Amino acid sequence: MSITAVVILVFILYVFLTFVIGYYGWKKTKLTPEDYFLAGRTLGPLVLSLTLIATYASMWTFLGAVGTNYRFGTSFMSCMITYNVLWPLMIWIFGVRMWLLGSKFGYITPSDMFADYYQSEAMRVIVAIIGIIALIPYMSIQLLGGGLAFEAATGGVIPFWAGALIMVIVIALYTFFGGLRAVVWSDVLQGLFFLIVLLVLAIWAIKLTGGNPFRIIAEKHPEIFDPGRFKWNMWFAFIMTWAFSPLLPHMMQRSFMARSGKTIAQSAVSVAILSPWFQTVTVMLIGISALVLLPGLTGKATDAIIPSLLAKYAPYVGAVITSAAFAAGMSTLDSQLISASSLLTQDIWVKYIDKEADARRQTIIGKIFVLVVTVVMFFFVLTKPGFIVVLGTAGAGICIAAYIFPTIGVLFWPRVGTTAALWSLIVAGAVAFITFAIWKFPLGIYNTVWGMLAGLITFLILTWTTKPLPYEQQERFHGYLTSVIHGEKR
Amino acid sequence: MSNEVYKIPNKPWWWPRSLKFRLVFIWIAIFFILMNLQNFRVIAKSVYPFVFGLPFPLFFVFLICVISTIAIVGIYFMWKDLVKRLG
Repeated sequence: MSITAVVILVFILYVFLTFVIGYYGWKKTKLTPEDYFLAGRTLGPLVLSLTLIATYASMWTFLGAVGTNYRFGTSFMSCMITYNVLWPLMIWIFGVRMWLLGSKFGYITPSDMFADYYQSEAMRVIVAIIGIIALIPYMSIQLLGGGLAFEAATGGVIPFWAGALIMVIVIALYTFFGGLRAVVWSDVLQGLFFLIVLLVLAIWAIKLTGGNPFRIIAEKHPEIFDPGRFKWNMWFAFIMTWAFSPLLPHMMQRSFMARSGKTIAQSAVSVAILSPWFQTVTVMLIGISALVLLPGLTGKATDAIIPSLLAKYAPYVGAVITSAAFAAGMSTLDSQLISASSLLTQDIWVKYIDKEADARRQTIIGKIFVLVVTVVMFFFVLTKPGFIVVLGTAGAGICIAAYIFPTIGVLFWPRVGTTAALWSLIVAGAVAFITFAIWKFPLGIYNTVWGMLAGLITFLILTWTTKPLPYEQQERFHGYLTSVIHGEKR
Repeated sequence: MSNEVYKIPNKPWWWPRSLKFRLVFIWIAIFFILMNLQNFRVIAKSVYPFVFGLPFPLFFVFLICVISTIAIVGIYFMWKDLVKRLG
């Protein structure tokens, strides 16, 4: 049997399993937005931990991060460890508070929370638009990685565009029918599969080097251990972006899905153990071993290290691993798709275009938007827009730079008024977008940093010079959070 | 519209009132500084010495990883009362 046939066979098997899960998700899903977009707020600690890991770890980890470790060595690893230790802490700090507000006031999207707290419909629309603009490049890296993985594993028999197309069809189908319930259940399967494969691959790659790859590399390429190799500006941007990843729309919605606040706290701890060890150390070991096994790779070829490694040393196993790459990408992409669809449906369509839509019609519109976003993303990715890590970080950075200051107002700082939140959102989002799409990374500094800096200045100046929200509104939110978090009576 | 602001406990925000919060605050600060020192070549200037078969920069990163894992589990148990309220 040819390798291409094996790749296709394993992939069909894997897709079949995913569809079975999607089918059960579809059977259990009621036609209500809360059920379709948030799985009825019923997730327990195990499912929430795995869906968080699966959603966070994407093609970025499986392909992009391995390549970046290969290019930058241990200095990137110190960066990766930093944000992989910090993001679970952010789940604890932000997620618990967001769950408290989400469950009390019935929020479905992040825009619901911002619009309700700041009493601003403009806020709702702008939050939704920024979320969608930022999600498109971030989603596209999953397809980009899927296309690359298919092409590398089949030796080019299945071209990049066909691999991406297959992936798009599979995800669109099970997301369309199964909603978030199918997404989180498949995340459990995909997350476990992906973590196990990374661990096995790391051990296998080290064995393949025939000894201690660190010693070999230390002798041949000591520069790879140079701590300053991954420049400070990239270091800072990556940490700011990924440590605050719980503020991305699809991650924020995971805070709304939990069964209880306790579930979020427990998940934060599980993720804090899984993420640094299974997602960082394994990826680094593979990257370093690849320096011995596949020397001399440059540019975008480093994004396909795992498939190339397998194609060279274990072509048949490569078929299984290609499915793991798909698992990594699909588990992130499906959540992002649902999130983008919920932003379009709940925050724009239902609020301004079809105000009479009942729960059933809202869900159907949500499903249609899943398909629309999928098509837009597919055509975007056919342009092969760039490095996986750059696209992912820059796309997510737009969202995080824009969302962070209004979120601080909602959850921590009652002094922040609508004007400060709204303008910091607009300025940070616009600056982060311009410094990515138009004037790319001025002075070599990532758009996340530019956006955050501009947003911070706007936020602080306007917070101190404009009026806060009415006292009753502050008390309604901060009083409730205080009563639970600090255990004090209101 | 008045300029009255709701007062939350733990003021000032940058220096927590409770000992537990202070510990976490200090841990995050130390963690961030250590990782920066690593990045700015203050701690790891050479691949030598090898510790447990790992070049020193890598061993340092592993060490931080171990400490972080212990720290987050510690944080969970320090906030058992909050976790109970959230349940």
